Parts: sequence; structure tokens; C-alpha cells
Amino acid sequence: MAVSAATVRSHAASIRAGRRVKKVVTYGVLAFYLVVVLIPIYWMIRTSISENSTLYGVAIEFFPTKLTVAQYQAGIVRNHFLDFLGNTITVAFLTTLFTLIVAPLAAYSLSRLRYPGRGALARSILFVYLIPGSLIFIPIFILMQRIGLLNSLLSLILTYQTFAVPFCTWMLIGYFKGIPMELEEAALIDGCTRVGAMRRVLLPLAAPGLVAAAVFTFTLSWNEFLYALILISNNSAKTLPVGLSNLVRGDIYLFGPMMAGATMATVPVMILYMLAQRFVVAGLAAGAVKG
Amino acid sequence: MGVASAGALAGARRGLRYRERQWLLGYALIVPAFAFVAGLIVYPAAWGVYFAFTDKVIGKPEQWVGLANFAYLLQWPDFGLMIWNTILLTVVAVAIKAIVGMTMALALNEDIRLRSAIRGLLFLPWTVPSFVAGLVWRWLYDDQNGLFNWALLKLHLISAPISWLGTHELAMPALISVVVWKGFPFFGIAYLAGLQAIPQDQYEAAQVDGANVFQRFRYVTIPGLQHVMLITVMLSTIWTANTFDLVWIMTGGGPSNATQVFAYLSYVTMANGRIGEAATIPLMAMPFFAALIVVMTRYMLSREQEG
Repeated sequence: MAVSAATVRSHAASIRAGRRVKKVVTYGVLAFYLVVVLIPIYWMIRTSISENSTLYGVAIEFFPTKLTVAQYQAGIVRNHFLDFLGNTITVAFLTTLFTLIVAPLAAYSLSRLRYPGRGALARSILFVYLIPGSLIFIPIFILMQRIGLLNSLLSLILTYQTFAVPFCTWMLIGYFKGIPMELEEAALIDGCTRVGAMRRVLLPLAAPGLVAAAVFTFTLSWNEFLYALILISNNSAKTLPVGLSNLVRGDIYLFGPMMAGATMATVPVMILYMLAQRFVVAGLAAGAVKG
Repeated sequence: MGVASAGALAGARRGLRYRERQWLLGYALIVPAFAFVAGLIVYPAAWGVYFAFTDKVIGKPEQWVGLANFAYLLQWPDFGLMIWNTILLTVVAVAIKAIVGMTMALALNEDIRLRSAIRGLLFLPWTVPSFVAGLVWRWLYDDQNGLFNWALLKLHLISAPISWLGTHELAMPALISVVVWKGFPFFGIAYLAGLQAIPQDQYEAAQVDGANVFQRFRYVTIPGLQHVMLITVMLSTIWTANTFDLVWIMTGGGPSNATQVFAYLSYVTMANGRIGEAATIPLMAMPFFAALIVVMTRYMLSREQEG
């Protein structure tokens, strides 16, 4: 009896020890990843608020002692950062707006209505979503040149539809399929038109999906670099990422103002994610788990 | 009989009209989306294919040259290196992203404090524009004033600064480190969602059957995550094989083509005005991507029908 009690006790102890090891490993892994993730972000922000004297050579300091807004001033006064920021906001906002009009209609059509060719159309939407920009940026450049839209924000807004519309349509099809059809059918029986049922029943229920789609589209447009680089050469229409590349001159990198611009290009999207984290995680999960 | 068949006929006609109305509405709603897709992808892509067989340069009319562009590229001495770099970058970066993302998801799936805060912070690299990520890491790797060299010198791990991005053997690993930093949160969040969808009783059943932690991972977690893993790996393969922004800002394909990849080569060729050759490069990569996309489309749609 005593022996078996001791065995039980030692068994319980080994389980406890196992749990403790698991806990240490879990927190250790997370702490390590947090450091890896946060150091570059810290260094970007820290550089943007530091005096040049603490950024170079032997005088580098990990924690800043003298704070300054001089890097932001230099970027804004000399390098048009505010204009670039304004362009970025305009492009991201209008791209999202356009897409949120076009994509829900297409997603409704592909998930709720039955007609010949629907399967092929759904397949081609997914196919187009997966085509990477590097495969079509050259013809898009030629096209924009021909229709005289180079150096305009409109060229970016139009071009960004090529990834935004298929992406949002695909994502919303998944959301719409998760909403029972009976609710809309009830509205139809009550005398709603199909479009009315979509507007009054389906879209309100799919609101989390619409928020996620909007956040993703806004981010993708905000962060886009390749198209903006080839379609815009005029300062007046540059977005922030491409505007920042102005500061790369040969081998000379003005890291102070560059990090100020980098922070300006990053913080708004980070805040957006903090606010919308719930929707974004659900959206990403839906996007990956359900296609 | 006459009355009954007339009623059936009227019903059928009404049914037909209802169905046709649905067809019309279906097409009408999808037209705007397809106008964009056709106008901005299909039509230009057809032009792109055409240019690959011409000697098009910016500002001049083109002439048909057949396969000359393909022949020119294939005899370029670093063409093989460029292909190898693209494959190496893709395979290594996607593998590390998948492993790091898995460990991140497993850790976050434990009963830990501040889970949603930690998840939010670990997701941050995904929100950083890749151009900005490249710029920040370019600064961290800077040979004179970069944080990495400063820290390594301070800790006396090295005696002289290392030129991370300027050394043939180090440039690619440095590039991969940033691709991984930027990309692993996507894997982590997707896997975490997958983990949370695995029913807890499967683990309990395995535990009752005497499965240890590794066996539970092998026989419960992995099969449960199979679908998510396949999708994320395929998506990430397409994105990673198209790495452009990071190469542009960090290495410019150098030193001496050590980080040259196909998307960047195509851009540089185009920036030099040689549209014909620039259009040929993505066309050569197209079969690979098309195969991957077709496989993925089929897989995702078959899952969609099941689910």
C-alpha cells in the first residue's frame, strides 16, 4: 500500500515537473520571438527620434539619451514626407472603397445565385488572386503609358484592383457561405427583392468579414511597392514607400530621416491592426482555413 | 387534364422566368469585378506575352524576333545562378517560416498569460510594409553603423565589422532572415487558428491510449493541421518566389548577383528600357507558377465543396 502511494506521489511529481518544463519552454520560445520581432521595430522608432550624434560610429547608444524631432522635420521639410503620406492615404482609402463596392456584389453572385459558368468564374477569381504582380507589372506599365495615366494616383487605384478585387471576392464568398440562406429567403418571402435582401440581411450579418476585407485591402494598398515604383516617377504622386526610396542615393543612406519616414509608413497600419485585431485574426484564419 | 397541364405549364414558365432572372442578376453583379480583371490583367498579360517575342524598347516600335530573347537570357552566364537563388530563397525561407510559425502557434495555444497581447505583438512584422522592413534591416545590417555589428563588437564576438550585405556568402542568409521575419507571423496565426479547430477530445483519447507528447503531435496535431499547412506553404511559396521589395532595398541583387532573383532581374531589365527581354523573364517563370496555382485552385475549391 505504502509503496503504491509513493509511486503515485512520484508519478504526480513527474507530471508536475513535466508541466514546469513545458511552461519554461513555452515562455522561453515566446520571449525569444518577441525579442526578434520587436528589436527591429524598436530600432526604427528609436533612430527616428534620436540625434545624429548618437546614431553613428562609436557613439551608438541602445537607449536614447537625447530625443529630437529633427529627423521628422528634415523628412517633412526637405523630402515631402507629408505629401507622400497624403498620397498613400488617398490611394489606400479609394482602393478600399472601390473594392468594397465591387467585391461584395461579385461574391454574392458567386455564392448565392445559380447560373451557367458560375463554377468557371469562381475558379478564375481564385486563379487571378494567386497571380503575383511580378508576372504582370510590365504590361500594366505599358497599358498605363498608352492611356496616359502614368504619374497619377488613379493608375495606382486601378492597378490595385487587380489584387484587391479577387482577394476580397474570394474572402467574402467564404463568409457568405457561412451565413444560412434561410434568413434571406425569409426576407424574399416578406417581399424583399434579392438586392434588398442582400443589403438588409446578408451584408449586416457579414459585417465582420467586410471589416476584415477592408483592413486587408487597405494594408495591401498602403504597403504596395512594385507598381508604385514603376508607375510613378513624379514626386507629386509618390506614395510613402516609393517616396522613401528617393532618399537612397547611391551608397549614401540618410538613415535618420529614412527611419522617420519608415515610422510614418508603419505606425498607422499598426494602430489599425491593434483596433481591428479580432476581425483580422478571424479573417486570416477564415482565409487560410477555408481558402 | 387540360386544366392540370395548363397549370403545370404556367408553373414551368414562371420557373423559367425566375431562373433566367437569376442568371441575369448573377451576370450583372459580377460584371464590374470582371471588367477590372479582364481590362487590367488578361488584356495586359496578352500584351506581355507578345512583347516577349519582340525587341521592344521604351519609346520605339517593336519588331518580331521570335525566340531571340529566350536564347539571349539562357546564354547569360548568371542565369543559372539567378534560378538557383530564387529556388534557394523560396525553399529555405518557406521552410523556416513554417517551422517558426508552428512553434509560435504551439506556444500561443498553451494556457499562457497575456496571450492576446503577445499574439498581437508577434503579428506586427506582417503589418510592416516589406519595403520598410527591408530599409530597417538594411540599417541593422549596416557595416559601419549597424546595430548588429555594434553589438557583436561590443560583446567582443568579432574584431572587425562584418559587411553582411556586401559579402557573397552572407548576403543571401541576411536576405532570408528578413523574409522570415516578415513572413512567419502569417504562418503562426494561421496555424494557431488551425490548432484551435482541433477537437480537444482527440488529444484526450490519444492520452488515454498512452500516446506521449511527440506521438500526440505526430498523430493528432499534424493530421489536424494538414489542410492549413498545405495552403499556407503554397501561398507563401508563391509570394516568396516573387520577392522583390526586399532585394531592391537591401542588396540590389548583389554582390555580383549573389541575391539576384527573377522578379528583381525582370524589373532591372525593364528599368533599363529593354521591355522585350524584361517581359521574357516572367514568361519563363510562368509555367512554374501556373502549375502551382492550378494545383492550389483545385485543392482549395475541392475543400470548399466539402466544407
